[in-house]
Amino acid sequence: MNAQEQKNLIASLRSGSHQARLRAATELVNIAEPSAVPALKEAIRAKDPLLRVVSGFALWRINRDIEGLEALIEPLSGKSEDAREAAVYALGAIGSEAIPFLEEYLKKDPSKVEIRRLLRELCGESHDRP
Amino acid sequence: MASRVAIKKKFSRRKKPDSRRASEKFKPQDVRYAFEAYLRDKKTVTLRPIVAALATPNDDVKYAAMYALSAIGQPANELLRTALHREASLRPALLVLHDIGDPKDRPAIENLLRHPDYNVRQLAFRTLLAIDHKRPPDEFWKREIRAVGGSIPSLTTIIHGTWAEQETWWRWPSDLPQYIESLSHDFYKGNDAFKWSGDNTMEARESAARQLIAWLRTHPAKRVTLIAHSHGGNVAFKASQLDEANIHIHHLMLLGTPIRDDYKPNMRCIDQITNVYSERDTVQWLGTWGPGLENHARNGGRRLPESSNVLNRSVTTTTNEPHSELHTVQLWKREHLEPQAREVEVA
Repeated sequence: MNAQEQKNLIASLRSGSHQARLRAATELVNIAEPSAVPALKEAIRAKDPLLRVVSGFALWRINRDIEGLEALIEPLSGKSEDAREAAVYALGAIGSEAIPFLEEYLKKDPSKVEIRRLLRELCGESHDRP
Repeated sequence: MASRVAIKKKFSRRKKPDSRRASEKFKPQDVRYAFEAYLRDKKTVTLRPIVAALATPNDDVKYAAMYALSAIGQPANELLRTALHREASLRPALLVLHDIGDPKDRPAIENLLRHPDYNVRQLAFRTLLAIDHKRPPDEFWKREIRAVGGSIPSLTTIIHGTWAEQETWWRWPSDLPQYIESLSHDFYKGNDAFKWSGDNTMEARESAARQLIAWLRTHPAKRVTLIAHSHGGNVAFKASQLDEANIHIHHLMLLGTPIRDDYKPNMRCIDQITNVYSERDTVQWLGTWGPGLENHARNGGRRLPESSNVLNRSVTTTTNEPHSELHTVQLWKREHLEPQAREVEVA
């Protein structure tokens, strides 16, 4: 992807249609382009929870940005089923690197059952009880 | 002191006529307070809210109660035997009694061998063996297959995806199952429908695959159609790959399954696959990522390599929740989706 295409992608993330913004954020996860960081930091404050998740994931992939990780937490208990599942996949992909952050988060708010479940999954304690 | 107040509140709720609703309000920390109070006072009465918590629909509370009661052991047995009489708490109470394995519980558990629910009978049988420190005989599973009444002509069921085990859309009689039933007339309606942990790990999906194989063995049908949402499809793929599989799926219908290089179908076990996907489905693509930021997307994470018995079917989603929209009746009607496999043209 050349410099102009990257600029277009960042412009799409900032001011495209809902679908164009999501596509741009998705592509930025793939290419992990550092110049997209300011636009991604705006996108993690967007109204759409799914866009927030994908942008947060891209931020983490680019420079291990803790703000990116924070953007993945709230959708876990939100109303959007798509955003919740997306956040589970993004945090699962981040894997063990997310554990210290999630543990800190759980200390602040022990009632977050979703965080406890994620920690259980990330620590390899996933198991079934009928 | 705060914990005592919390327990007292729960007791007062339990005494009200609508105690079922009270149990639904339990939180995991309520179980912890009661557990700590029991350890401090050793009064059996303190165990009542924990046993009541077994009936809650919230899995976190239920499991907390199960672990607490397993740790307490025999002092909880009398209350647990009482919980066997209540449908909502029967299975978790039986599981705890299985862990405790006290011979005094034998008569109460023997009564459950005549329970109408096959799963309860099975669990009761295993509990009795656990009390006697015995393992189920090898022929146990074969005998149980006969117990469900032999093979039926056809069966259609849904495999839910990640973190969806508590959702209702895939269970009978929700809208989509009812719509599928109107088309196939064979949707599985039993209260022991296939369900898995929903955890987002390779281990959980492999464990689910083994459970699916066991479920298909205990629910034999000549023609099986599985409709799998999201990673539920990869559970079915994994089941077809396992050595012990020996299963036959007539039609596997995928709804937004992340197409990955580490999950592939074994077409010796599957007659036909219809892979339904939306180009707007970001969640399907995110599901191709694995731990350590490894991407396992195959064919862009959406499409399977096509063949005479694998059909990729792109659909148009219209909402901002395209991944979930794939399991709505509106989309199925609009896109004329059907659980039946297409007719294969013979050359």
